[in-house]
Amino acid sequence: MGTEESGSPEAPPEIDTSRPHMARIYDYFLGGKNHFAADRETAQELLRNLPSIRVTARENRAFLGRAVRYLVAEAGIRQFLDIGTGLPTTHNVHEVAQAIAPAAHIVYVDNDPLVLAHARALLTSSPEGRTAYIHADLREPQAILSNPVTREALDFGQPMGLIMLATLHLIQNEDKPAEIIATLLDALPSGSYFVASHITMEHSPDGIARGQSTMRGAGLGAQARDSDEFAELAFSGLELVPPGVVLVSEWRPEGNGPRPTPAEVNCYGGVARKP
Amino acid sequence: MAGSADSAALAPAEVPRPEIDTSKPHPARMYDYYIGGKNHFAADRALADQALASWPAGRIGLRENRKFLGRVVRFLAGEAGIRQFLDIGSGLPATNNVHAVAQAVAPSARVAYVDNDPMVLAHARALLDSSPEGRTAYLQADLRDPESILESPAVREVLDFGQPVALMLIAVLHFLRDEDKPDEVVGTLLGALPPGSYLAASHLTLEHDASAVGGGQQVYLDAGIPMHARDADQFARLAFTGLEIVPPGVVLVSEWRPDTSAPRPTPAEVSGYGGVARKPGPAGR
Repeated sequence: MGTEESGSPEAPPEIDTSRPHMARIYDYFLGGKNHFAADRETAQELLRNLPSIRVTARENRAFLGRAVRYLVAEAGIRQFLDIGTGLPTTHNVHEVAQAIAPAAHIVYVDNDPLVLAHARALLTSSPEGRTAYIHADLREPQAILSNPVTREALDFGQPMGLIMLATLHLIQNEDKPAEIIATLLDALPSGSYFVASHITMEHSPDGIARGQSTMRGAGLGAQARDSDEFAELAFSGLELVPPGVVLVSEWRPEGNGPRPTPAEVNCYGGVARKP
Repeated sequence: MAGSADSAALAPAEVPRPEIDTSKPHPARMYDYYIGGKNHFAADRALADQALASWPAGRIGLRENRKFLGRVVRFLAGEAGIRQFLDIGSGLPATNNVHAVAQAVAPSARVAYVDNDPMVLAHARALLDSSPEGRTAYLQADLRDPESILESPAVREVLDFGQPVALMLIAVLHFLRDEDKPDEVVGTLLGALPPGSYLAASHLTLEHDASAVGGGQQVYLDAGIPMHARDADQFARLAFTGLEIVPPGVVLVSEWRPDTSAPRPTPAEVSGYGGVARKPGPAGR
């Protein structure tokens, strides 16, 4: 139990700094320091088309914190499988979860070798809990599910929270995201939860369409969807937790301060329970 | 205490009700537009959009300012035990109205709101929904004439100047030019408050993004609306000289006792400093 560096694969993948990666672009938007020139170049092109994308990133990250707190405190979830974790920042899932339930177990998954290199910051588990990291790709869900690290850290006989935060919009339709989600959810017992958020196009269709072109032009996956498409893709057959699929900024907000406009947020999120 | 039903202070009979001129932009309505309210007219939106074209992050900065207001009032009503507020430049009713935040902590809190926009007066009912135990009042007046605020019967009726008062000057001092002698204005107001009172203030700054925020400021100036950003040191000296600054001091409004560990906006996006300070001396009479 406790902090275990269970994530080291036999042959660490190379970090290619010449190509942008979404985890580093997201880190740039959040004000982090783990990005290279290629990431910043793509990030700045996205910023030109979507000037409020930093708001998107921050609101998305704040949603993650509220969703995890809800799952631990109100839904009693003690295990998380977080796919598309990104670079360590504030509100890492285990910090939020273990602040409420120190015994919580978390498996982090990302496909960026740089996240692996920084994974130590994700492996600062409480002594009672457990965190682990695996380098894998959402497009190969079986590899995630059958990874010995996953199996060791998570008990698939008990409910868990599956998290795909701002990740599904990187999975293009030809990669069959619905099948990926079904494969993962099928492996989880009833009473498990799915947390997902997705950049959506309805409030800024032109900016999002240009952003998709930028991403694809940079060799990154991108699939613009509207909130209905996202809801159907992510939550079909599940029981949505109120308030449902909403702008991430509107999902159980804390405080009564003013919140960003829909066209600044451009990102929907939801939490649902497997019946 | 009289509750919301007693709104005699809303529009004192002796004060002629000023006209709402919808053809000219007013900063209170522009602020409302930035933070997502609905009380603005075409002229307000047009000028606000011009300012946003120069400073696209303006909405972020002003929302952070409004959230700062909420955290400050919670601190004052909670930890500092303040029960009376004088909120000058209150703006249009929005989220985090001072009495709503304060009375959630202390239902008996009393709040006098002051603004110089007739539109705020028209909407002041939403500021006057006091708890039954507390009291709210609204006065149309201008910060440049602090004596008129202090001598107003409406204010005197709601606030007991023998007890500590929190003076709120949130995002309003930058509307005063140096020739308006803002330090004297602040001095006059604080001079009327007893020891143990607090000043909470925030102020626009150019120091993190001079071109974008400065361009936004120029849009105001060109339209005949005063707007005078000051850097953090100038603001701190202007507002808090002689007072005991509450930790963390004068900081970006987003960094003042944040209530979440979620990522916060960049300094350039926020471009506003804020602080809270206490008037020294033993509290009370």
